[in-house]
Amino acid sequence: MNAPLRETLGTLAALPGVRAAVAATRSDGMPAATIAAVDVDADALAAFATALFERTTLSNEAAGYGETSHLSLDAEHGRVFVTTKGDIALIVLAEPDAAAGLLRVSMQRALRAVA
Amino acid sequence: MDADRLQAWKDEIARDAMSMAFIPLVDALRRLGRLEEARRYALRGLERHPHAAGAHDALARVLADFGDEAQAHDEWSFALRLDPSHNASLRGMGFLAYKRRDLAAAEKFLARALHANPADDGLAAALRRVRTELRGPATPATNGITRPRAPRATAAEDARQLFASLLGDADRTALLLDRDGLVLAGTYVDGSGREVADEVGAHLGGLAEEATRALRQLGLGRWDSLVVEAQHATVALAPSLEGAVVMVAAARDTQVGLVRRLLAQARQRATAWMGAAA
Repeated sequence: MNAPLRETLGTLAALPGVRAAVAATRSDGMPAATIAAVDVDADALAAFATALFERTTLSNEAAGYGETSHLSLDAEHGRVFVTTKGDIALIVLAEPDAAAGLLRVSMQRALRAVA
Repeated sequence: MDADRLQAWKDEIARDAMSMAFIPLVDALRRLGRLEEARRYALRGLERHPHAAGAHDALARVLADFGDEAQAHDEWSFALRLDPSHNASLRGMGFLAYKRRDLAAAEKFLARALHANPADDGLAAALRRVRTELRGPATPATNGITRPRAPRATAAEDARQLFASLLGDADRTALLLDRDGLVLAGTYVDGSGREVADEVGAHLGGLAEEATRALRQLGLGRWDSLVVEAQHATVALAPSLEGAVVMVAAARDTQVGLVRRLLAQARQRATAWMGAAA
């Protein structure tokens, strides 16, 4: 993992409620760098999050909504956020009560730093 | 209109027969009610610029002012063949469709025009008015679900209109897909007014099951909602009964919180509708 990417993921992982921050290749869902709690399966998270993002991207293209930039999924025990640029996807797994607005802004800033 | 300005355009055309100054000149003459003169300049301009969408549009406007809607329609149609995104011609076609009460066509043309020029508030207002009329007034139904009054109360039309009264007159759309991505209810139109529900559904078939499986593996439990931000829209999805998915989309400037609220209402309505249909 290169230093700027590690630093960026570290910044995201330090936000309140964040359990994992992953940088992955958008096209194949393979993690390039991960900072995660021990109980988080980062590979599965990256694969699922990028696949979901691709599906919704195709759906949005079919609807003529243009480029998809951000996804957030709320589940019973956590929230998943994805933001992408080019072939880079940043993925964050957070607690259900994590502040979505703060995470969204932080992820966009982080993406600008690494993309 | 300043007479000097009119004369300046006329002088320019006299100096240069190929000048495009006839377009603002025709428009100004129309506004002054000098329709015959406007028509002469429009025809002369069109002779010199037969492949300019703006020239056909200029003549179409004059024809529409004369009440010759069939000829105006032909000119605007021709302009759109030359330039499918020609804004003024899309508006013109929308206007003609509205006048003959073909609201679906009016919505289609105005939506395409707005897509090409999203900052046009007047156009947005016209589109809202058409959509409101298209949906009809909301009336409470016997099962507690509010529905628009449909001209033909068929089951299929009821399904299409399931979310209409929730969506209001803004640029929003909603859809209910079954586990395979097939459309159960609602409509989904793109920025140009084209129905894209089947295409959207095709990409989302099996999403609920896939999400459920993956989230279980990640120890995150059931999924509750998904919000996706795209360039022109915010889209929100939620699981419904039997692996179905409810989708709501709203223009990008709609607050995400409002989209979530709409999603919750659409989900509730979908659940009631599926329960009643079972």
